[in-house]
Amino acid sequence: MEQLETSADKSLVEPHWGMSILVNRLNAQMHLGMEEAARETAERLDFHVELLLRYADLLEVVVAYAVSRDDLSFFQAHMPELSKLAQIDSAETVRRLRGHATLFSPWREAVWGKMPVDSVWNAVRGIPNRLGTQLLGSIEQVRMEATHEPVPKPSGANFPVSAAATFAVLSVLLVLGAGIRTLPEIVLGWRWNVLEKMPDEQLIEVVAHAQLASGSGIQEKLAKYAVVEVMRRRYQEESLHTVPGFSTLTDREREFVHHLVQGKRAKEFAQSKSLSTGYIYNLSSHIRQKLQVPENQEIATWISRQRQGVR
Amino acid sequence: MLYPTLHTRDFILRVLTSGLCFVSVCIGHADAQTVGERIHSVLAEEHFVPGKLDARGRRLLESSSPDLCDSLFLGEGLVLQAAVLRKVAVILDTVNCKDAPEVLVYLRAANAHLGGRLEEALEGFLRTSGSGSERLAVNSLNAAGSVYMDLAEYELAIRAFEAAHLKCTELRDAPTTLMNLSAACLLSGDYTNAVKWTYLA
Repeated sequence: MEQLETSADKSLVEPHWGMSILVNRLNAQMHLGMEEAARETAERLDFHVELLLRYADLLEVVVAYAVSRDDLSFFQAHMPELSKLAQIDSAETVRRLRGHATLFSPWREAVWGKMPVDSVWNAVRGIPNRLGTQLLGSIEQVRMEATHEPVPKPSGANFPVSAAATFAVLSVLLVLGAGIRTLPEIVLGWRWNVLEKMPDEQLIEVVAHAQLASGSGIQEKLAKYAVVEVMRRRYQEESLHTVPGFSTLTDREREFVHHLVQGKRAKEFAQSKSLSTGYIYNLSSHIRQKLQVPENQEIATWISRQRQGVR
Repeated sequence: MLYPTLHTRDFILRVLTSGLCFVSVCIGHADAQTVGERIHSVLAEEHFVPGKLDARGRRLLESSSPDLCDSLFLGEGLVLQAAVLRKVAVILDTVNCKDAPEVLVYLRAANAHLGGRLEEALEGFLRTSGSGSERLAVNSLNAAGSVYMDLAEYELAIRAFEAAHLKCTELRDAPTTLMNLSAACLLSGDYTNAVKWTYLA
């Protein structure tokens, strides 16, 4: 192993590739429980390397490493660089780091208020590391429970009603289903029915604030994740408006840009909206023209750089 | 403690697609005055600008008669190369000529990969993985490995990357292959080898 190690120090590997390789190594060493070796690898990480291709990948492993060792000092020592990386790829950061993202501003204050960093650290360590699809899944589960409470069956095996009448009765019971037992459940059921048509962002925001305020129902921790999700989307939306030329985009173009800066691929957008590749190609061309994106750069990368004021 | 898994698929794709533009270079050297070399010279003339490459390719496709296979191959190659640089798949009728050059087979596979047609992509990459050009063979094996990663066939991905590693004699190809190997091992749960490959980089 010693012989092999020599090449990593003085390799001809490009620095950002070298970082990716070191992060892979750190990840594997953590899995293997090689604490000392992982510590040595972590010490060699250079967060100043430009062109770090996957900021969130790097953050994910580094934060997991720091949390696993409960090494607040390591985290704080690299806080300025890590925060910078977290802001560059903010959407991806929250998606990857989930609850751990709240260690970074602006999410920290939004979720934890003015709590000191070491207290936040302890709180974050205690949170199951879940967000994103699991969060949405949990909300969906609550929504289903609220709107589709089991419908009481009529007594008697030979209830003599037509199928249409049964359907009508069941429909009414389904609509009112959530509120059969108690008044709060009726209110909750009604709200869910109204909220059902809201966009995800609005839904999450409402749920999160409601639950934070009441401290009941959905677990408080889950609600905090929801706030993080809301903050992420808000930050993303607000920062997009600072990009020169963004105001000239059509709704569809904005939607596409929003999709791209989330780190998603164009083909996913095409599939989700049932659009042809040709349409996406034209959409990209128009966006490129309006935002004056250089031909040799990706739209998402360009926007990311614009947000930082880099050209 | 649960550790997140470093997901490097996007990264690999990024590295591969940015590396594709060099493929035509190696083909150019291998077969002088061929379609590969002509693609290379156009790439240099147009400074790798996708819009210009695409426009030039389409002009060639429209203006060339059906028997001018080399021009048609060149046109298709340029349009595909532009798509690869943009990382957005393009829908294009395949030129109806026999014996497409390897670089075109590779670019068609890359376009299929971008378009999510994984089996078609894999078939193309495997075809060009036996190329006499080391660079094309290495790129093809790395690309085939990344398709296997997309298919969650990590063992096959590792085999493809290992084959690429064995073919690597040029130092600048080695880090990409080793990085791919470590990522594939990570995703397959083979952490010991994941560490080993990072030390070789």
